[in-house]
Amino acid sequence: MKARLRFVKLGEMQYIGHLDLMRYFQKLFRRSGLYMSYSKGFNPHQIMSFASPLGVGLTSIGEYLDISLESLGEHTESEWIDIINARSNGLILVTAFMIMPDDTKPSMSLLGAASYRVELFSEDAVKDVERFFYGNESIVYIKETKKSKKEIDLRKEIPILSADYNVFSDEMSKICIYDHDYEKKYIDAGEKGCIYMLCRAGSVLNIKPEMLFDIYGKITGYQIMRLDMLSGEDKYVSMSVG
Amino acid sequence: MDRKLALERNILMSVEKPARYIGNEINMVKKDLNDIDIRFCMCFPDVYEIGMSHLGIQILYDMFNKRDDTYCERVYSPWKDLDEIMRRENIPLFALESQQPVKDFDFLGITLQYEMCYTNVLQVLDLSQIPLFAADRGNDDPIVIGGGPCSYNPEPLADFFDIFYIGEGETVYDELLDLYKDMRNKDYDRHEFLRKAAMIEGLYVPSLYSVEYDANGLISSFEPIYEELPHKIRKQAATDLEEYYPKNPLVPYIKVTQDRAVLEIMRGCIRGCRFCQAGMIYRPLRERNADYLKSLAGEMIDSTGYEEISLSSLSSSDCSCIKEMVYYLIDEFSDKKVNISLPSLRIDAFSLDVMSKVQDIRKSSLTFAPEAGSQRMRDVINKGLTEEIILSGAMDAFKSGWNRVKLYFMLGLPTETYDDIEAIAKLAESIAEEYYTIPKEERNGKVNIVVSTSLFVPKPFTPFQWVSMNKAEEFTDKKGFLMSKIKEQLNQKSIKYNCHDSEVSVLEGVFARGDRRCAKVIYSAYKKGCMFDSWSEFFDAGKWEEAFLENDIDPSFYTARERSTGEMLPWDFIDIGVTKEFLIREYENSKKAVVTPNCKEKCSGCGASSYLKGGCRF
Repeated sequence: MKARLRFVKLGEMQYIGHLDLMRYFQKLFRRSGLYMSYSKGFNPHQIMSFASPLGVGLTSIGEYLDISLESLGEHTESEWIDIINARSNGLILVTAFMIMPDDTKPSMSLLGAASYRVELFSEDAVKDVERFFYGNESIVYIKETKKSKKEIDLRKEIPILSADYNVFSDEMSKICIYDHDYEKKYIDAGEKGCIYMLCRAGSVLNIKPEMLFDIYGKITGYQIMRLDMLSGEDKYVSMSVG
Repeated sequence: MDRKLALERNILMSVEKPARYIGNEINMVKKDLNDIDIRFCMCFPDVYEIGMSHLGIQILYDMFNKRDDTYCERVYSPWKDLDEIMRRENIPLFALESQQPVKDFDFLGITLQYEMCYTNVLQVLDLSQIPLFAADRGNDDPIVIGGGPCSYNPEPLADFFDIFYIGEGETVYDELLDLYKDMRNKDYDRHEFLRKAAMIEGLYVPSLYSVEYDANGLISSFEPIYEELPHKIRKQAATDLEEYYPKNPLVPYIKVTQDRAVLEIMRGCIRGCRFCQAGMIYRPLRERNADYLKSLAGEMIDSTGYEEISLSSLSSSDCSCIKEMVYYLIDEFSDKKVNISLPSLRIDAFSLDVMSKVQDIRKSSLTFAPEAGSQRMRDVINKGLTEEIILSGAMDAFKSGWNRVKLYFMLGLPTETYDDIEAIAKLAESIAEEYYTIPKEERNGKVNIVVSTSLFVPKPFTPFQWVSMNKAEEFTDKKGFLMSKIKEQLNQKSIKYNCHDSEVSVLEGVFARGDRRCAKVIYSAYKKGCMFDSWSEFFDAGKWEEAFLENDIDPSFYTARERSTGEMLPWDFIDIGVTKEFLIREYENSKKAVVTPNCKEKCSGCGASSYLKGGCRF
């Protein structure tokens, strides 16, 4: 049985790296008594995969984890959420537990975009970034790997960018299907000093908000929160929507 | 409780593994500071991953926090990167739970697990902004308490600590905390408190004892400065091991050295190896009841979610419930995919059966600790292991499919000759040859033998506490000699050799058997920047050499000099139950290479049974 969990990673949990987070979930699921499926072999491990690793220093309200279960046992999905969260630390919390059809592809392979909030802690900085982004026809970021150099036009790869949350969510509604109400539980729409953006994502090309700030320079000490992850190419659907 | 981290985000983002400093691990105890009378900060003076792996702190953390009036928090040595930032920005060292400065606590308890952490003790005090010397502390500074195995000779650290707790923490800590609470509420005076604390059995307040030396630098007198104080400090040993055990141990976020639930099945050891300090100071032997252990194992796995549980003791094969426990755990936990790890198990039919069930034979290696190469040398150290036992154990293991063997030895043991060292190489060769007697088609590839030698450091409260320790040059010669002998063996390509650093071992030897005069060397070395001395990338032998020279202290006075059994030793004021007469008897037996039977075979009257009503029971 396949399941997809959405979870949040808040506050100081930003300092926990991806591998440690994976180990955290393995122990959390054991404490919770979830009927996880294990791989075969001498050192069996729980079958789980993340949609996309979150870097150290980022928080999130929209992380996705695929797991394999033997069964749900005596509890419903929502009961499992309560059981798991009661055994977690208050900062890593499961917010959706979805049983998926057996032929579902891994979230990782479906990923097409991710939305973010970047706190810049300064209204002036926010205006400057917006001006910089919309004032340029193209913003080229050069991604260097061991083998190649790749030019990425961030103007094309970041379909939505706004300092106003309401503008951002209006734009999002035009091309995305996602859970507004969920997001609004964590976001204060009137909060100043933040930039909201939707970035293309995936295994081939993964745009990170940091890329824009790397080019722009001048700004340090910003705090990024991932809001959601979505599948699709030009039109997107949140991973929390079936 | 909304906690504010002590370190700003930009600092946490600039250091390696920021999760070392954020606390909030699973099973961390949270308390409202308004309800608390006593704040106790427990410290392991090494990096987080090492400190979090230590069972003793987990036990004390649980025990202190059972008291409603006490909040026990934790602190570890900040790694070098953060250490530099904290000094530069004048950030006081903080406890992980509340993220508040350690200097505001009532107590700072530091566990002393190995001598090479002594400069880190000073680092922790310094970063906490607590005066390094006990004499400079005032009423508002925390009471600094030392404990753990190194406190069985606390003298090199005497100037830096207010109190040493000698022995196991389970016994008199409540008494100390009650006394403190009572005195703190009135007109508190630090000195008065320490004077009263020194009357509690097992507590040693170094500032209340004075030491004098004769013309040769030997101790001539060791006396309390007040009449009422005890001349001898009696080691504390828990008589009922069923009273405290942490059922909800802390679970770190990052991978630590001991990344599993640890179940202590037994304390003490019956073997009486003459080099082994743990084998003496943790006497008498006390075993936990199998039913109690079974229920603990289940509770710990449920509360932590660990995928591995380890049975811990000095010599698990000697535990009377070991078979019952191991087969119980295999039955109970295999469905839950919980691994079982069994360190310190002797190689025999039982352990091979168990290990073939719990490990992947192709990936694991077997460990033997003969400690010495020749039978004569093994008799000197009372390691009751013969070459036949080793070879037949290895053969059984090879037949079961193992082809990797680790062998642990010591160099520099008392009376050691070059023949004894050569015997190490020959023993490794014999094991390799044993492997190749198996028909080729039944063998699992090539045999792989790893020989490791540590360098023998004489420790207090062992029959070897009087012996001369080798100098660094001698160790270096011996290592070279052993390497050349291994190269002469027929199967030398199958034998790999690892060895310890000579300089570090000599330094360990100084502090293991040092006295109060060593404190200034530790202080000088720390001021020169020595820290994390047990980490080879940081150990700086040159700075230590300067520190000895500047203070006019000759390390070989403490290491290479053979002491007479009549000499007053720096740690003689401690009574560990095991008597000096027994240690002398064992020392004499070692010179004659006479083996002493283990406690289960025959009682040798060591004296430790005085801790148990009705004596030891086997």
